[in-house]
Amino acid sequence: MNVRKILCAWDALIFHAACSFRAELSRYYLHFVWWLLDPILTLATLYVVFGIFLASPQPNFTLFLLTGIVVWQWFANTVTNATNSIFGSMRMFQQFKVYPVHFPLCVFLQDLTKYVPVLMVFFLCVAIFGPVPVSPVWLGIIPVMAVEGLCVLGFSIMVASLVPFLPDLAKAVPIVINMLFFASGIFYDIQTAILPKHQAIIYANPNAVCITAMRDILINGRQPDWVMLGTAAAIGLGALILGLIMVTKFRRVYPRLISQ
Amino acid sequence: MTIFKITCQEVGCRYTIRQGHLFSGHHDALRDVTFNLTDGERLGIIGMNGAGKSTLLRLLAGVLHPTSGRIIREGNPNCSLLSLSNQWYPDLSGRDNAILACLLAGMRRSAAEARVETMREFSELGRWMDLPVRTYSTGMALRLALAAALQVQPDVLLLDETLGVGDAVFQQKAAAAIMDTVERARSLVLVSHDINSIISLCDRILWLEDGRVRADGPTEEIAASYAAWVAADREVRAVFSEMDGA
Repeated sequence: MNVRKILCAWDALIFHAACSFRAELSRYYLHFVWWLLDPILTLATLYVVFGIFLASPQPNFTLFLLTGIVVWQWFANTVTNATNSIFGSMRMFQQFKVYPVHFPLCVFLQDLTKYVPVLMVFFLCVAIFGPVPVSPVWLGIIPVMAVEGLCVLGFSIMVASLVPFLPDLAKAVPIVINMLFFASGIFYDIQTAILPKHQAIIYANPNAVCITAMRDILINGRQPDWVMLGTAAAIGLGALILGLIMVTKFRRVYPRLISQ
Repeated sequence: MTIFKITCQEVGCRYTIRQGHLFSGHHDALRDVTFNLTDGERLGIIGMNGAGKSTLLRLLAGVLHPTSGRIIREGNPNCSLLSLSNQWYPDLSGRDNAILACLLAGMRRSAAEARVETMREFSELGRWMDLPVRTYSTGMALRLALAAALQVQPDVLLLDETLGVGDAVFQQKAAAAIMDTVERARSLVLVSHDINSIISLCDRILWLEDGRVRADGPTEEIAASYAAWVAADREVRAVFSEMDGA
């Protein structure tokens, strides 16, 4: 691939993500307000159920919940949106020589653009109202979010690359996302709620690791577990490599599969 | 200027089709297709529906890759496929869709954005260009497709049933614009059911039947054979139709 082709592919990716983002903004009356309402409404629901009805003893429960929700929703929304990104672009493959990875990357960029303002508002609120002051420990947020981003990107591309061969996967993804929601420690503390012999299973979910790491920094004011974070990064990287191998190896197969 | 040549050697294209719950079959859209396209040549492709014409165009454009045989491109020609498939994102505006089409066709963003007003004027969409494509009629979407496709300056222009787009007035304008692009392109491959368009634009015809090359030769000779075959086929169908009726 020559430099010009790379630049053209980059131009197309950025433009596609930008105008899809604008189109989504214009689709709803409340526009970008939904990006903030989504985690807030989820927080409200979980707080009522677990904080009030079930009287969770977890200190700083609001912040505890919100940390989990903010980290989780990036993963859940992007992977769900990316699931059919290649399979649903049949018409593009019949008309243009387009790289399949363009489509999940476009979804990733679009959702990242929505997620960053939410994250900024969240950190601002925590800095003002949180239990621990802003400190150098907060610099750990950068690698934590980088690991989460790697997992989001990796699983998005991997799932998108597999769906054209297994369309049933598109039905399975929301079910798996739902299962992972309960296995990420969003509304419970893994250390206290899960038996030690089962904790390894929960921490095999990179989202659980990133949520725990974020809580360590923002609520407990301490460094996260870097070894576990490294393992989560390895899982995300593995998913990314598998996805990239799929979209590269089967680049010539997708147009014929999708043309069924 | 490098002379180019595209050689198809025993090219086949097989689609996988899911049948039933667990099984899949296949459909050979093309089988053992062998021909050359040289610099400066104008090739028409004819055949009945399902003969593999559009598949062959997509193979030449590089959108599809053959499942058997090979396509050799000497001189690395830039091929552009101009077809009127539904390529738009319904929630994006006509402007955004047109720019995206140009970007995916290999243009840089600055060049694509510079051509927006040209596309607006050619498609006669006016303010509609800034509205989502889902608000367009079929004709408007086709005019936009043609306007976007004509912005690319290829070495080989591949036309797939694009000569009858829009109303009568637009068709005249479209025909002139397509002819202008044809003149600027070094080679042309035209798929059309209108044999008169093929005869007027092409100097050679490739006749496909059931995915295979039935004939390949000068326009007059192949067009005459094809016309005779179509007439004979119609007579046979008419006879069978009478027998069914009786």
